[in-house]
Formats: sequence, structure tokens, C-alpha cells
Amino acid sequence: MPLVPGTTVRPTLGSPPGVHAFIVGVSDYPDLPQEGAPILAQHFGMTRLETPAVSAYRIYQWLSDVTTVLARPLATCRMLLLPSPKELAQEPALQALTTSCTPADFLMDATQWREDAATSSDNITFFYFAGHGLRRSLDDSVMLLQGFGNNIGGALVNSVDIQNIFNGMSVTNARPSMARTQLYFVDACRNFPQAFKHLTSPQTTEVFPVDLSAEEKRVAPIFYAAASGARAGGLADGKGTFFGRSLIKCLTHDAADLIETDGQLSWDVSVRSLQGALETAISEVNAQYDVELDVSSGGVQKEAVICHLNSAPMVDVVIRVEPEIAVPLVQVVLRDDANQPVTEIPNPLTHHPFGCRLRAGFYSAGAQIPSGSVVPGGATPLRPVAQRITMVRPPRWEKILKVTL
Amino acid sequence: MTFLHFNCDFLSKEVSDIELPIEVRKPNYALIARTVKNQPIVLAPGSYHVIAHMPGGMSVQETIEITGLERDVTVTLKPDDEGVTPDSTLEEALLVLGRTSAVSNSRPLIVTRSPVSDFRGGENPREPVPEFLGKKKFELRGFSGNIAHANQPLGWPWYSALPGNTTTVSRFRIEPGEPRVLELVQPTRPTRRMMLPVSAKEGCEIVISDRAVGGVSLDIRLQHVGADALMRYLQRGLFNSASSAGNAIDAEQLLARKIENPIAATVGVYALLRLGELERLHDWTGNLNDWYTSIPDGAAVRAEHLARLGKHEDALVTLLQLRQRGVPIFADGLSYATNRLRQFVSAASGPTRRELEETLKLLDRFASIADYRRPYSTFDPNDIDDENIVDASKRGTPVLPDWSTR
Repeated sequence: MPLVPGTTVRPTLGSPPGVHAFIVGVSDYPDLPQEGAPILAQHFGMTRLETPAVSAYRIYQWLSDVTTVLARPLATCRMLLLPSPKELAQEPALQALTTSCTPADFLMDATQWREDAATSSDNITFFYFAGHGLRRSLDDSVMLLQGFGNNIGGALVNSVDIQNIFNGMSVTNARPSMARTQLYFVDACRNFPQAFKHLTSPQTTEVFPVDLSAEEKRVAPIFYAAASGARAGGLADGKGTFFGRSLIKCLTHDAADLIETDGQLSWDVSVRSLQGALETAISEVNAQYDVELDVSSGGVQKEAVICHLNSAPMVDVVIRVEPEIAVPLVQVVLRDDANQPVTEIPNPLTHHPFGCRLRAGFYSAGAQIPSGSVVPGGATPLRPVAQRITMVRPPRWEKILKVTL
Repeated sequence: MTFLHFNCDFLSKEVSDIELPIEVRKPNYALIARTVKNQPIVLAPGSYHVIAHMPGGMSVQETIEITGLERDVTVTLKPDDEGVTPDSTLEEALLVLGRTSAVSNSRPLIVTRSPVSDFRGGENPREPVPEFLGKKKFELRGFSGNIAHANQPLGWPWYSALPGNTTTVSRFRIEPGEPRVLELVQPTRPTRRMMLPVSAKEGCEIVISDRAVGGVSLDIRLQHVGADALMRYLQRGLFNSASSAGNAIDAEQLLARKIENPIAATVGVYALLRLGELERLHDWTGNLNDWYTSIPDGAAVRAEHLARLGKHEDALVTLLQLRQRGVPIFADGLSYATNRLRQFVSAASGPTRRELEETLKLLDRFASIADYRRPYSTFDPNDIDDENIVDASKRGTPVLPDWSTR
């Protein structure tokens, strides 16, 4: 899919700046075995996947949604998708979008993507890859494409590496109007399989020739789903990768901050706010699914706005009383910055912990207790908890009201 | 208009000395300013919320009303009641390291003076073998030089236990000196080796914490409090906080004072490179590289700086210094160096290409076994499927093999 649906025009030098996206999601590697099937040496321990393609599709959906307000309008969008049968069952729309994802396909789209990106320095590029990945050394991320495991040619001939792409998208003498803002998302494992350790410097397919000419002028962060040496992961049954789901959650919600510029207010998601929000989002994934994922970043992390939200994001609020036995005696009070109650809270609480949703902002939570109250069944005195203003930001605010010393 | 000044009220002087990144927001949540503790800002009359972000991930917050009648107003930031910790050591653990687990007891750390029979200790009979909770054990071993070259065990004493240690958190002081490698040996865990961030003028602190899941974890604190905080903000992805801390004072002053604190200056450089703020580097990376040849990171950051300026030939020549200087102390340096070497190898030919390939080969051996979730170059030799690389703890000898000859 070379272009945004409804348009057929590729940009030229001087065209209005926009976002140029290149999205790749490879799940159904045809030369890798299904889960549970025999794994041969040429497979390097890998099997087909069930989550990357739908994650890539979700990213495309977000980019092209009419409610998404990108820092620049979406100008072009190229997408290579190779979904698994489970993903097709979960999301039938993927059927019409299925393509091949060979190195030749990748090189063709990458080349055109780069040409489009080089039409204006005010362009923004958006690269997202989801699929198998590995690293050969430190800040390295090799992205595996269709054909990997076919035992033809070098071990990594059907793969590309992010550093080559990153370097090839530099501002150079040949491409002085290259987009200055470039966003890279690599949603793939970055471990170093044992099977590769006996190979001598395996080489990937070069996407762009090396051009060492100009000064680094970009804002060009690279967000990795897995810290170097670690594995990424996802939810079964075609629900998407952990990183892909977290990324969309952050772009649409968690990473927004209210910025005032020349008296104008705007909820902005930026490079740096996204980094912090992703760390938090992945921590929540780890806690919820009992995994040990990590995100890391590379590239050049200057600040730039990625998108805007139309309204304040909501925050999940959880209020707990400690000790829980004191709940029947406690009146929980939740107030906004103007000291006004923000929501009806049952007195006493009818369910504990108490949960609600609030718009990001400043709030206080306190506990009021009748004078002379003690812990039920005991003699420990209960004490009220004073209201204290706190910044409440996505994704969650958990407040513990300790009513005993 | 009123100048708003910031003050911190923490138990620990070290925590209070950190140049904390601060946000100032209006009641409607709008961010109106980012600054640091020692840089006041000017505010119009109104109500504001002041939030300071700690390196460990927590925040402390105060609300202030500016009437406009006073020229200067000071807000004091301190943890709220729920963040109160019983002493400064635990406060540091919470606010700087982000360790939220409560201390189960306050029994002092027991340090025995003789090797424990079921776990091989160091060869030096005077070297303490710490005990945690009377059962868990670990051993710290030190080796001189860069990990890429032959290493000899350090003479005792090369570290000392700091006061205030408990059975769950213990701190050790590493004295200033030449490059060295730390080895953390645990009886049932892989041995870890890491480059220590020390120089002839700067030592560091090692914090060993009991892990609920078993074993111990190791954290390193830089001698320079500001550099340590800056690095933690970067590690946690708090780039806005890191940028504030870097913008205001730390990075530039660290670089300006690099004679006293070359390690801290190196952290400042890494921060500016990561944040893309090349204009603040001036020519300091050149001085750092030229004046402190025992710190290999100087070559890595200088090369990266030159490459980003488009001076690729100069960057290439600088990178070749790493053959002699070895593996950078910081993981970012290893990353920058291997990426640039790979890029230059593709573009080079003849003897230059061979030299680049040799340098890349040296660094790649370590890059392939590095744990890049840690800021310091950290290696787990068990990742190498190589009979010639012997785990020192299994063999029982404290001498690291010379990996440079592989």
C-alpha cells in the first residue's frame, strides 16, 4: 500500500510537509515452522509468529484515523503485512492488506519512502517494524523478513538492520531536504540466539548505501521494544504485541502533556514524553502479565511533537484504605484543585479498593474519621488523613490512605 | 513579577545536593516552566504547583501562591508523610535508587574475616567475605586494567564497607585509581563483570541489595552526585528531567570541571549526545579524549561527536585509539563505537579498512555478551560458548583471561 487511501499523489520538492510512514508487520514467515513443528538448523530456533502483523495494522489505523491529529498531516503510508491465520481470523480486514514482505519488497518501499521524505526538511517520517528480530552486537537491531530460514544464501540475507536504515536517512549533500524529524519503532526481539554465535559476522541486506557526508541535524529517536539482549512479546490469539499495544496507548493517551505556548493550550505527545510513558506502560504490562519486558531507546532524542490530543487524557484512580478493616469507619474524600468534590463516593465505601476515572490534573484524596474511632476489634486509634494535592497523570494514580500510625 | 526559589528538605545531604529537575504547572495542569533546583524562575501572580522529579522515579510536590507583593519567594520541597523513611540511607535508596521494598530489620551486616568453607573466597585472607542474613553470600573481586586486556587482581584494600549497612542493603566504597574491572560472584548465579566508573581522582560506590527472588542486585553510584542523578534520569527514560538537569548546570559545568571529575564529565557528554544537544559540547570532547587517555570513553564520545559534525575521517582516526584503550566504561560508548566502526568499515578500503575491522572485532567480542540494560559495560562470560573463557569462580583463580588475544 504505497499511499494514503484516497490519494494518488506522491510529494515533490516543495510539496507541503507531511508525515511519511513505512510500516512492516511480519508474522507468517513461510520458511519457518509453525509452533510445535520440527525446527531445523536453518531456522535458528525460530517459529512463525501470531502478533506482529495485527500490531502493524493497528499502527496504520491510528495514523490514518480521522481523529488522530499528527504534528503534520499524513502524506504517504507504505505498509507490508504478512499476517498469520489467527490474526486473519481476529481481524478479517487484514486479508485485503496482505502483501509479501521479501527483502525486494522492503527495498522498493524503503527507497520510495526515502525519496518522499527528502522532499521537505519539515517532513516527519514514521517507521514501524514488528516481527522477528535479533542483534549481532550492542546498539544493533536486525529485522527479519520473509524468506528468513529458507537456507538460501547467508543466514541474514533476508533481513535488514535498523542502523543501516537510520544512517541512510541522514541529511546528506545528496538529500539536503531530508526530513528533520524521524521516528523509528522496532517492535522485535533483540536477543542473540545461540545458533548465531558460531557464524562469522553474518551480514544483512543493505537497504541504503553508506553516505558519509553531512552533519547530524535530525530529531531521530529509535524506540526498541526490547532492551538489547532481551526478548519482546505479545498476547496470543492475534491481539498484538505488548509494545505495539503500549505504543498506541501512549500515543493516544498516556504520553500527552498540557503545554502552554503563547497563551495557547495544547495536549501534546512528544518524543520525550513518549519515552517516559512507554517505560511506565511496559512496567504495567510486566506487572499484569508477569513478564519481564523492557524498552530502550537509541538514535537522537531531541524533543519534537508527534501528535496532539483533543482533550485531556483520563486516569484510572484506585484508592485504598489501610488497614482494610477500618473501611467501614472511613469517609474517603476526593477533591479537585479548587477543593471541590469531584465524584460521588459512597460513605462508607461499598467496594474496596475504590476505583474511578478522572481527567489528568491536580487532585487530593483524604480520609475523614469520626473522633475517637479505633480499629474494629482492637484499640489502635484511627487517624484522619489530610488532603494533599497531587499531580494525577496517566495511566494510573494509586493512593493509599493509612489511617493508623 | 516574583522570583521563585527552590529549597529541598531531605534527611540525606546527598539527596538534597542533587540538582533536581523541577516542573512548574498551573492549576489547570498546564506546564509553564522546567528548571532545576538552583535556578529560580520568574512568575506572575497566581497559584502554581511545583513538582520535583527524583532520580529514583518518585516526585515531590508543593503548592504555592504568588501574590506579586514579594520580590522573592522560596518553596521547600520534601517527601510527604507516606514517603518518610527512617534514615538517610533508606531515603537515598528510595529517592535515588528507586528501591521501594521495606527493610525487614535493622540488623547490622556481618562481615566475616575468613573464607566460608562452602564458597571459595578471595586469595587474600584479610579480604572480608560479607554475609547477608547469615546465609546468602557474595564476593567482590577487583582486577586492574581494561577488560579488553590482561587483568591482574587488585591488591587489598581496594574497597571498604561504608557505615550504616544493614542485612538487606550494603554499600561499599571503591577508591579512586586506574581502570579496573569488578567481578560480582554469587554461589548460584552467573558471575558478572563490569567496568567500574572510576578515575585517578574519582571513586564510586557499590550498593548491594538483597533480592526477594534470590541473590543480590548490584547498583553503582557515581562519586559526583549530579552526574549520578543525570544518568538515572536517562536510564529511566525521563529525558525531560535529564534535559533540565543537563541544560541548567550539570553537563556544562561537569565538562568545564573535567579536570577534577573526568568520569562525571563523561556522563555529561553522554547525556548531551543522547539528547542531541551538540551545540553544548563545543570542543570539550577533544579535551576529554586528549587529557584522560586511561578512560576509553573519551575516544568513543569524541568519535561520535566528530561523526555527527560530518567530520568522518577525524572520527575514524579517533576510533582506532580504542584498540589500545579498550572497552568503554559506559555501555553507550560501546554502542557508539561499534555502530560507527561498522559504518566506516563499509565505506573504507585497504589498510584503513583492516585496522577498522580489527578494532571492531575487538569490541564486538564484548558487544555480543554485554548486558545493555545496564549503563556500565557489563558482561556475563557465561554467555560465551567458548571453552577458553573460564568462569573464574568455577576455576577458583581470580585472574581474568586475556580476551584481547582471542
